Amino acid sequence: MRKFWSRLSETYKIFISMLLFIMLIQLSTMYYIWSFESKVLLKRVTQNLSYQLNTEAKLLERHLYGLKKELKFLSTLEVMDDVLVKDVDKRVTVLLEKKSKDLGEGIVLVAKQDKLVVSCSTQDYKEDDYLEFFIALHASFKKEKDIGSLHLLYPLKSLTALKSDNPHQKLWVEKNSNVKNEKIDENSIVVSKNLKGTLAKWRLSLSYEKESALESLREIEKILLVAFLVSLLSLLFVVWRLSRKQMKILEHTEGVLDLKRTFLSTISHELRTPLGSILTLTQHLMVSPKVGDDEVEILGRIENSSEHLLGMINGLLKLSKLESNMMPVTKEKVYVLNIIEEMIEIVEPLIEEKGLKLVREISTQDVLIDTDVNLFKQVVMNLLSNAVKYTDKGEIITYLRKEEDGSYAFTVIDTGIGIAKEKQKALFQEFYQAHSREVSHSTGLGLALSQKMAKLINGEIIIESEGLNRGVKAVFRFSPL
Amino acid sequence: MIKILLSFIFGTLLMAQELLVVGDAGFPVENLTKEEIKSIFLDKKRFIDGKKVLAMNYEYNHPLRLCFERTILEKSEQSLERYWRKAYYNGKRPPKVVTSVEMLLSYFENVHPTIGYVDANETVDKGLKVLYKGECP
Amino acid sequence: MKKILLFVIFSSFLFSTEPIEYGWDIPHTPLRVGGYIDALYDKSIEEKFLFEDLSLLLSANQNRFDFLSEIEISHFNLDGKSHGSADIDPNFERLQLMYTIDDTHAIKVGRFNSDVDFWNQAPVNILQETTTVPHITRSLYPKATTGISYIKTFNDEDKFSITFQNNRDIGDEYADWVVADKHISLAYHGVNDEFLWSLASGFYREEKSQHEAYYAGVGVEYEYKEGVFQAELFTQKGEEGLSKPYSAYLESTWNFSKRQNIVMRLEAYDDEELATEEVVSLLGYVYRPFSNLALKGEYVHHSDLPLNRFVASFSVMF
Repeated sequence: MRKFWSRLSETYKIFISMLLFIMLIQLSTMYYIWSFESKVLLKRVTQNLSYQLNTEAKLLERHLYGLKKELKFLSTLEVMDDVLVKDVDKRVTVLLEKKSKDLGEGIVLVAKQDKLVVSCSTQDYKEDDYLEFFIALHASFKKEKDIGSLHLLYPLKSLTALKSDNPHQKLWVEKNSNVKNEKIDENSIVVSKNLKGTLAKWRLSLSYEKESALESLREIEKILLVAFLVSLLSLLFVVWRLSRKQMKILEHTEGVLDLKRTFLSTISHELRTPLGSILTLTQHLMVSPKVGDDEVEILGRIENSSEHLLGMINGLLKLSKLESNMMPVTKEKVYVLNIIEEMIEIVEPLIEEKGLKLVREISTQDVLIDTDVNLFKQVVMNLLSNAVKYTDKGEIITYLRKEEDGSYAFTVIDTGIGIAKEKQKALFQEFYQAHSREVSHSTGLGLALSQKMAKLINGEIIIESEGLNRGVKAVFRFSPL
Repeated sequence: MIKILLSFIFGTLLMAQELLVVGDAGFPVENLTKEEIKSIFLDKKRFIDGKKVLAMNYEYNHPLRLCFERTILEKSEQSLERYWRKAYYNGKRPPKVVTSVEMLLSYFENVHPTIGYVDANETVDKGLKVLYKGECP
Repeated sequence: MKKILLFVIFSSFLFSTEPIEYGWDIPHTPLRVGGYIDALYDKSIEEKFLFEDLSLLLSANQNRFDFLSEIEISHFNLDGKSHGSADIDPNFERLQLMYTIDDTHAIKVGRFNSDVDFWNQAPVNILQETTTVPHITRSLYPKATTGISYIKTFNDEDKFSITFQNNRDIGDEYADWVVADKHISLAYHGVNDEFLWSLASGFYREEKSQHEAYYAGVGVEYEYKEGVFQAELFTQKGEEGLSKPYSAYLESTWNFSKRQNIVMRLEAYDDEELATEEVVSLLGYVYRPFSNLALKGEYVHHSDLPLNRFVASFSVMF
């Protein structure tokens, strides 16, 4: 339990120290920015402004390009031929008036012939107040014939005070002069850009009040810091809560395990002691001359039941030890055949007593394995004793073979009562006996225990049977070194 | 628009309209036959004396144009529509449309050679050549 | 497609107040662009709904040169199948350049409609009074000629033309009609008050089959106050068993009202190739709400072939 606790808190500690480290860096950066704001912040602001300026410039250029295209389209209309005849019927004037109204912005459209105005959309206008671009007009019936020009006058007012969403910003257009692109004066940051296309001789400038620029940036910084702290705290909180929960669960589990262990050791002791005395006393009575034959028989039965009970308690203990992985597994290198032969020799008398035939088929060379000898012996013994127990006539065949995949299989085949198909699956569950209690004396824990033991030494037990009275084939598979 | 209305009223007031087919002051020839005028206005003939002529029409529901179509071109509206459908398909172009006499006269001043038609009752002392005289029914 | 169609129809009215003006000038070029669209419904034994033609007309006028091009953009059925080549495969129906030497002579070169009869001068639905065409115009002579033509004009009206072709046609290979790789023709069109005359004769060799044939014919058109009367008679002598001894028709159009016409046509022909000699009669109705839009319906009866049909069509030119 201490191990797990220390493991948990280490991660916790690392995590906390990481967070503290990040916080430290962030705070120092903040401090740096705050104290050296003028250079860093202003640079950022200027960059943002330049980007904004580019967008605005593009918009403006595109807008004017659009107007140029409109002008081009107008110049292709057949009605423009009337410019040649000084727009006698005012068809051109009507069109220009309508179009200039559509375009809005105070745009003036003028048709000229030989520098003289033939038709225009508005009467009073001062040419100096406008930006002008024009296109030549040609006769529709004779394309080479030059009949004049069509002019679009764009009000400079619209350019000198362009709209800007931010009241602290100003956007305007001015005639080009060789001034550096950026200048930072007393109260505002200004960025400029030379325009292209129709506005070739102009430059677009964007200014931002220093204070408000910095202010907005500071606001952003503050918000970022607060957000960071909040997320940090909530993360800490979450981690803390989770770990607490984990801790509780672990404690609980630990407690349960403890309880179980104590219980088992207590039980074993508490149960075994009186049982022990029951057995001893019964055995004592059995050899007493004062007891008659009938009574000896009864005592014998008592002895059997007590032994059985004792066996069960022992088995339970072993199982619980295995379950809590407290079975010590000490591996050593041994030769398999020796062990197997040893175990067979133990059961041989029992086999003979029952009148069965024992067949040994060892078809491999001896192999060296790295395993827990006790466990190995117990597994082999379990298989053999089961075979003997459940066979009343016939034979028991044992053999050791090497499998294709390099593992080995120790097989015990008997011709005994077999196992009904349905019961085979449940064989390895605890307390399950394939047959009714009458036939066997085992406690039913045998195979479950053996499987667990086999697994501990990286092995496996497989039981097969064709059915009742068809015998059983038990295979213990294990791998060599 | 007002001019059309005026000329319409003007036209209806006078019963016998005399139609004059005129050319600009520097028109290459002195007069043309009805067939020649017809050919020009139907874009069958484009060149007079080697020079490409600009033919002028009034707007399609102008009474003078209707008169011109009936007397000189000798085709009904339907017939003209049919003709111009085929002609357009074969790459021909109808005459240029002007909206008033003033415009017509202005074109005469600026483009050479040009041919158009006017009401005889209009004062035409701009030095235009009268190429053909007709009468409206 | 439908949107383009609607735009085209409406724009042609909105843009010009002149019923006889079509097309738009392309700025800074001498080109004028326009086109036409046809759609027809044909019910005979089977029902057919065709979106026949979507074509562009490009024309340009510069001094003495006249350029004209008719490009068929698509020619497909509404059920998606295309006619021969792919849907959007521009096909040059016409691609001609004419040089007017002076008032009396002109030379035309390129691919142009063969100068033969009345129908072939206006081989497009919108220009005709009926949707279906008479037998004469179908297989007696090559509809288009890719070659050179010399035109002599008398009195600005009467035309005499001589056409010469000795090369492959540059148009669509998958044509229903005669595509020639050799064609010589002489034609005369005269105008006499309300009468239009036409006389034509020629020789051609069909490209695919290499069959040779001679043709000759006359035609007359009389336009009067209430209508038009047209009649033609042609003959073609081809190779063994492929001649068309005669093919003639009489067509009368009555201007029932300013915008509606009633058409009657009677045809008679003997076509050895089709092994048919029959009389075809037609009764049709045309409604032209605008000068560039026509709605037609007609019923055609064949005396021999099982091709009796009712045809309705919609056509617009812009």
